[in-house]
Amino acid sequence: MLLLMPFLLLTTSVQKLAGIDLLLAGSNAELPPEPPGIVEGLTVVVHPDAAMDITAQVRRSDVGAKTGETEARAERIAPLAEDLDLASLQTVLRRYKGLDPEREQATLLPADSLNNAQVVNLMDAMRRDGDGELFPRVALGVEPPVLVPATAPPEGP
Amino acid sequence: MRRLLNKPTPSTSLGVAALAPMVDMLTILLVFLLKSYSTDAPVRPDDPAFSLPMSISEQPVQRTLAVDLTAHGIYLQGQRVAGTRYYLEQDDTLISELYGALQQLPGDRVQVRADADLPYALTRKALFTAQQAGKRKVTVVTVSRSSL
Repeated sequence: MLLLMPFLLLTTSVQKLAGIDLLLAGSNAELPPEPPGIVEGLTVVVHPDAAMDITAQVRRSDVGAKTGETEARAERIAPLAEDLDLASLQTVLRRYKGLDPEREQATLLPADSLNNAQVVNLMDAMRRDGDGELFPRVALGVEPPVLVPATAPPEGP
Repeated sequence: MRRLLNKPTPSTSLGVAALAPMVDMLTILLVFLLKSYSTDAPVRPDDPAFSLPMSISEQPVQRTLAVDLTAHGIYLQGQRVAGTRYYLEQDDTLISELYGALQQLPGDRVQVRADADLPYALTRKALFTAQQAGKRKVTVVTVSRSSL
């Protein structure tokens, strides 16, 4: 033990590195196919003011509905004290996970003004929450973002 | 004379009693160090301001091509290839110097080590450049929250 202790103290690094494998969503990128499910597309768009838009393509509830016959659902999450409201994001994602438990992939389109720490926190929040796994395969958008303003301008007279 | 020769040895009970707690402490310390043992080399030790973002991920990082995004420059395998401020201000998505360098290197894996405080815009451009250069498997390197 007296030999092992100095060895470990000299060689142990404080930081343990961890990797997050990425899928890159772009115009020429082919994302791996997902098993067919009720949720056929799930995208989280994060605006510069930390507001988030979650859009999902959910198969219609008609009995005869086939793959591709979907309806778009959109939800908006306001920022929490000018920061990302990750808890609300996880609540919404958990709901979609409940609709399609087999789905593992979601797309994230962060605003360019966010910093890397915020983007990693977003990816972590999308991958799992307190109740377990959400969407472990996160596809990051790498094309220049075309973002709609989070707050619609008031219509003038 | 006999009493001097037969001097009783000092009692060793106090020394043995003090040794046991020390061994207990060393054992606990040993277990703690073994549990958090990490051979990962520090990233960019020459830049004390550089820090990786933290993540809950526990996936180990493989040895692949490394692209470092720091406040001072963009590095590939430790060699500076481009300036950070230029590409933060430019609208171009492709980092041409990085693209040319990545194309010459074999393999389809690359790891991106970006400073936590840098804008995501630069990371996005680096990811796009890696994708265009044929590096399909990209890993973002972070610091595990379970590290010391």
